[in-house]
Amino acid sequence: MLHKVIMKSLVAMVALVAMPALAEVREDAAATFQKGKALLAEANFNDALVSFRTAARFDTGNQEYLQAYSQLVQVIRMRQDLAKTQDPEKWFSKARALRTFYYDHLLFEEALPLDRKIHAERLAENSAAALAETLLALGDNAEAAEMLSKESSSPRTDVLMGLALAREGRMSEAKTASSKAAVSKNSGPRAFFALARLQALIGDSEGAVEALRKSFELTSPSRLDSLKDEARQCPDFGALASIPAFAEALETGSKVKESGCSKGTSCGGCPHRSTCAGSDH
Amino acid sequence: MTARRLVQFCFLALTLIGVFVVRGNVERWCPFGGVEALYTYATEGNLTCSLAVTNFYILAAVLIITLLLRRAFCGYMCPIGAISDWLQKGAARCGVAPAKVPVSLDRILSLVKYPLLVVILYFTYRTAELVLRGFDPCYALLSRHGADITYWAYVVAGGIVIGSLIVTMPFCRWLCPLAAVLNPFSRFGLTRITRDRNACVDCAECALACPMEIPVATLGQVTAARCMSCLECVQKCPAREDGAVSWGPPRRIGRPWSTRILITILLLCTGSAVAASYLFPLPSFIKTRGEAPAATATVELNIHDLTCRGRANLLMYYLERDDMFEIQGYIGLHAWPSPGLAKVRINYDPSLCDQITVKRAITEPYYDAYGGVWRLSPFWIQGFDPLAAE
Repeated sequence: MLHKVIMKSLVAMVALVAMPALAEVREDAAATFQKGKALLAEANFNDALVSFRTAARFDTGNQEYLQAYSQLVQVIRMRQDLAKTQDPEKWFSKARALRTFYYDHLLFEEALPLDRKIHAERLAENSAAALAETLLALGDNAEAAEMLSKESSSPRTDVLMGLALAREGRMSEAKTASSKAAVSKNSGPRAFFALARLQALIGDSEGAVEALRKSFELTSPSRLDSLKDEARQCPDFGALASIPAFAEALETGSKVKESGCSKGTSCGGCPHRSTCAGSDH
Repeated sequence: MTARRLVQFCFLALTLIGVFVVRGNVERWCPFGGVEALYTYATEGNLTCSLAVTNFYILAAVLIITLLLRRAFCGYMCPIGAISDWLQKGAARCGVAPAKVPVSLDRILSLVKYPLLVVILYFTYRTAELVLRGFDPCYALLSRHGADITYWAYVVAGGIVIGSLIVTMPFCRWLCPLAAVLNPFSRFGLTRITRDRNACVDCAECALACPMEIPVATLGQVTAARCMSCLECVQKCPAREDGAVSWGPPRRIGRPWSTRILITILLLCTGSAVAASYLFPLPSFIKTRGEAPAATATVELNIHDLTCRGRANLLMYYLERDDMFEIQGYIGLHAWPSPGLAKVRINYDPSLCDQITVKRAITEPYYDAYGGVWRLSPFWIQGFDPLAAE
């Protein structure tokens, strides 16, 4: 009887001592993870990897840290493999994965060489728009405008052209491009995002907010946060920053159905969709 | 309270506790769920969402019960049967006499459940989902009112409640799709009500007492499929001590049985179904890729967040990935999705793959080229440290 009481007291004491230490470890892990994210934002992949690994080691149950680390391991390996990959199909597949990662983390400089190669070798259907988007993200407006002027017209390229022109100060041409751009649901969320930037630049704040809202609605839930981050950091929206409608637009939710379980387009008839943590974003 | 009322009360109370107190998935214990899940399980090896192999065990138990005791499930175990029965009894006490439905109309209405069963099974089998659940009055009465429920379910449930006040067990007699499944088995049920013409005093109390409106008073033996062995006719018979109306196997086989035997059989069958579901837990999700080689290796894992069929599909999606964690050759997945830790058995070709690759395929992020997005794995395996495995 006595030894049980002693044992329980010991366990309680250990728990009392360990709990603050554990909380401290978690705080350390969170700080290390944030440091890793900051390093990644500077495209310092290797140091970011070390930070993510340390965070995952500190807080072993944290899936976010572990997944971030594992993803970065794959990205670094893909970056190393890319130069050696001869098969164009495999190269393109890896390049797409890397470009998606770079865009998710706003690493446009890293995406640029990939976009240039994809466009030069015409590996993707809308390579011009993708390259223009990256050039614009990096502020290379003249090059974007020049490149797009040689390309055939599409709603997405028209908007990007207008954006490049607006940034170059050629407002009347930008307004013409804006009125010409027939952006529809089929053009995708990034076309609406570009349209929002263009309209913000040409002074149509109402149209800009509406287009921005539309782009968020058309973005899948798993990519929405990244696009919102991009919107917050985008200098094109500078004039809208003080408008309450812009802040409201940033709260827009996705209307795209995405199942967290099956990764299908929606949770369909799943009876748990209202309660399941992994579904119905 | 009669023994039947007590049994009804217990099963209804268990259901309500399961739904509202434990907040569990009571549908896993519905025998009709077993009927709905049968085709998808046989053809695809997985179960319709929110159903489990327990549905098969309870369905088997109910079929055995039906072969022995006819539709005793309806009269003793089914919560809807109990609610409907009690409503009518309550109304009768308040002076609302049950309306007598003309025999010809009753016969026509009794056929409605068969096309209803066909429609339900057609859509359920075609979509592999409980697509009509949102219209299900039972779901409206005995659920926590999930997001998929429709107003129609409440309308029908309301109709059943009101209908039960004026007609005895209308849903059970005319609409219940499970009754349509059970009726062919019930027709060959071992036990039956027997009326001894010599002892009978021809008071017709037995026929008046029958909630299924079977004309017991005019029959020698009740072999009607809809008889639910409620024994109301036996209890109401003024000459039952003389054996005017009795219940049991055919007289040529043996003597009449008591209610105790009936309840014992019910509880034995139900208990066996519950025990079997724990002792022989069949996987509720089976999927394979490729031809199994002569020798396969197996890894058993406990995985977090493998909560349902959707998640099991996602697990297979991760196993079938085509990046650096690709599993070459054959994959066989047997899963027991459940909240918390779920058991999983994976078979693979040991000449092309190893355990670590399997574990990494499950836990590593994956670039979905089709969707153009990185998918972070929602799974983690108990006892597996991906950092240590590098």
